[in-house]
Amino acid sequence: MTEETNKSGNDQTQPEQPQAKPQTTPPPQRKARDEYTEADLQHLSDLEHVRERPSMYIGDTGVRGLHHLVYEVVDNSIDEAMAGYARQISVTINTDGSVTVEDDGRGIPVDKHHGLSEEFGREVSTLEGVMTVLKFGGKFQKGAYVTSGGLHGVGVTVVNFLSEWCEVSVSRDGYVWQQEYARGEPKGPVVRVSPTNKRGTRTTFKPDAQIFQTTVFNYDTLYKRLQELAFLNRGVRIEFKDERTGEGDTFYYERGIIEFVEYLNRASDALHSDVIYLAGETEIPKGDETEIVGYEIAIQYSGEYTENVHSYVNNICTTEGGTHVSGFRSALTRTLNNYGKKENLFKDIVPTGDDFREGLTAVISMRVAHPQFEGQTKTKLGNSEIEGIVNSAVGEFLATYLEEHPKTARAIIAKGVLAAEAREAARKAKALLRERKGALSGGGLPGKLRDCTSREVDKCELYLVEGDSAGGSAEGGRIREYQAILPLRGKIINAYKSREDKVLSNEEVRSMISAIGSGIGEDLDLSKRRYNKIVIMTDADVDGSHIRTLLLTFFYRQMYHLVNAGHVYIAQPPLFRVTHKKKTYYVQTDEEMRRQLLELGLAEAVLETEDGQRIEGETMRELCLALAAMEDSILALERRGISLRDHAQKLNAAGELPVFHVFHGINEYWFANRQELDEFLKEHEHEITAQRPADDAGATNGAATNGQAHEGEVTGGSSIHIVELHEVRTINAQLKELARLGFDLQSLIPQQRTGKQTPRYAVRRGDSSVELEDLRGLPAAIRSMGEKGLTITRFKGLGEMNAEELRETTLDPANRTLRQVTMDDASAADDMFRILMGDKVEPRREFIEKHALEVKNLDI
Amino acid sequence: MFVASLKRLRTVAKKLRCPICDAEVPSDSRSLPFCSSRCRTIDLGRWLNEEYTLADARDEEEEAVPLDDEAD
Repeated sequence: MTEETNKSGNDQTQPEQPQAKPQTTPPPQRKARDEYTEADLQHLSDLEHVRERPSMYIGDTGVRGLHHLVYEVVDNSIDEAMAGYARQISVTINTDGSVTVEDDGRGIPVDKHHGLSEEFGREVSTLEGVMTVLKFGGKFQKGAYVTSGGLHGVGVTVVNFLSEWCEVSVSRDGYVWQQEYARGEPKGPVVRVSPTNKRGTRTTFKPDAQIFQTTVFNYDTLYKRLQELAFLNRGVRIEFKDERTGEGDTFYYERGIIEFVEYLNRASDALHSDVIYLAGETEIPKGDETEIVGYEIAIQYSGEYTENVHSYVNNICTTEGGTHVSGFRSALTRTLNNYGKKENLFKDIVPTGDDFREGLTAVISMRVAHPQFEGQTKTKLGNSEIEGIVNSAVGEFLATYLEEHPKTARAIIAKGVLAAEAREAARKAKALLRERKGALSGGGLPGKLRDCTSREVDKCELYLVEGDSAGGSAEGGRIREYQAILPLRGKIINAYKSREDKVLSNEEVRSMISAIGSGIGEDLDLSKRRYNKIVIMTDADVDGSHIRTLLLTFFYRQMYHLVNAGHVYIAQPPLFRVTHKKKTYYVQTDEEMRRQLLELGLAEAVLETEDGQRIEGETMRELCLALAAMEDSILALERRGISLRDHAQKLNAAGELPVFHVFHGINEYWFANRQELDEFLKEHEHEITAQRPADDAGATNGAATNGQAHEGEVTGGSSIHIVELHEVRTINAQLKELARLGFDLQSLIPQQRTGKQTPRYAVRRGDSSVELEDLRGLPAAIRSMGEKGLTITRFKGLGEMNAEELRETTLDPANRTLRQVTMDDASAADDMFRILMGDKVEPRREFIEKHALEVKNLDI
Repeated sequence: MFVASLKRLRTVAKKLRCPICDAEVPSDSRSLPFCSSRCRTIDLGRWLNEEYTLADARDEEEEAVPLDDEAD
């Protein structure tokens, strides 16, 4: 790796290159130390000073200082690259622990430096000056480098002074030139080694173990910094190789700090895909002249909650921030706040600067001619003029950016609002926790709670009862020892328009949490629960289902493990009370009530027809069940505006009514089954231009359920529109059953019967009888006969039950029906809650339209 | 009927998504059903703030649901 370096022969002329005679300076007169000159004194005191007090120059002599040596050398190469002279830098950790840094820049000049030569009284090359004279170098000359990275300008000289040995070869002017040093002292003059057509500087140094506590370079540390430099200096290629292990990488970033930000966000979800990027220069007066301040800033928000801002001044990482960072921050807060206010994006809470920095990833890279570094580690920029420059540049740019990118702007604002909300919520949660702790120690259970007397948790139950009156009855009817009652009202608030929305009040939420006692969220401790069963008891109406949804959602979200462990139940109070003679019993649902009445009425009921048939017993039962099964379907058909009488005219030979209604051009067709429909469609395939929605269930539903749709579609030329009458399938099935029992469709339709005295149908049961014009009314007639002798009360709400009834139906473990809430139930309630939530109309509408059928049946 | 309709709904949304930020929630999240304690806290804040309201479904039907076979 050092083929151009010839340590033993650097003071000899290379024979194969006759022109390459040693030039420039003679070697220092090492043996003539007694010739003590002024120049020597100056020179030696620089070297001695650095070696005696290295920390003043490189911070410390530990790992940090050690690596700093590499950075100093690399910084020189970066300067060459940034000035446009170098494109490539390579850094190699050699097997002997030395480091080689090489670039393809102009190369340090090797000819005689007049100023230095005069000062030292001998011929001194520029190269030797750079390597051995402190504060000597291009950086201090006007015009060479506007801003430079080398920390404090001590540069490579210090690296040389603190190295056991160091070796520089410069390729320029057609030759390779070389000089070696030992602990800072040149071992000889600059030697011209061999011809070359390359150019650049190559520095190899081995840190001095007399100075450093450790001289072992860390791969990861150098890796990170070199990558960082490549990000900060776009277009510069940095090759890194560790000869000790063979590891290495190449860093090259065409888009610079934009890629840096993307790299920092690589493991997070970006809030917006484009990185916001601005760069520019500002001229500021400095005495009689002006100085240029350059800035380059890249911003991207991610889904994270932390702030990730990396700031640099002249490639130096300003970990303590400084004026550039504070200028950036205040501009960011101000601009986002202004935008949010203008667009009316804030609700109650206006986000603070901290809120707007959640999830912020940014890189700020400054070029400042004379940076002042402050702070404990000298990594805080102190130049006061920078704050205003960055502030106004960022403010101006960002305001325009937000206007032009409203989607990104809204996402960023929403993120800040969420952060503000989190801050506020955390404050409230803390207050709640304090309150709860106080409540536990002071025994301050919620005032509305009617607690049970037992403390045997496994037997205790908490009933959450909708409404105050039901709460009162429940309190009276409960088993005091084991059952506690907490009445909940489900506060009504007037939302926008005149709509009334249901909400669990703050007090109710807190009451539940403190009554249940287990705590919430991550801190939930099941062993602290005060009840084994939490029973939600609400009415079977819309209000009740809303409160139930709210409660289930709350438990699912905040007391997940309580639900998961099966401690949450839903009480299922009955809908009917039935009293027969002195016996009272309860019936849960409408269907069940109807079914029971039919069975009761069927006993001993006989149907007589005009032609003298008597239907009774099992046949009568089958007939009534078939008729009852089609009751709802016939009503559904009629609601479409199709009467059974009209539809009956389209009965086919097989005794089926048409299920499909097809509009084709100006013609209408009816088909009893899909097979017939498909045949028709095939036949007319060439004419059919429009939709054929009957093929998938969802579309069929849409077409069939829209009563008005066909009228609009009929005019559509040869377009086709299909309506499917689902309910007719049920009717057809039951018609078959009727046929089996000897009745046809006409038995369901009233007939013109002039001059007949006997009724068409008559039902007799005991001493009561009912006359019917058609059989549709039969089930209803039977049910009403079944009601005889019964007193049926339909409860409209829990509040209508008195304490005893409530106890008997809903509280008493012997009779009540409780449904254990599963995780599926709870998360489904949460889904529905999201749909029904009062303040998000759009997603709800979307959802409802997408799943019209499901939502229609959401009668929980 | 309650259970049946809930089950039907359940099939609509399969992946567990955080109720607050809509991120996918890993099954080992400490803050189930949320992605993080932070989002759960935000949710708690909303309960305590009485921000979670359910609109009266009876008004809703007229307002938002044109698809209804009983509409005419």
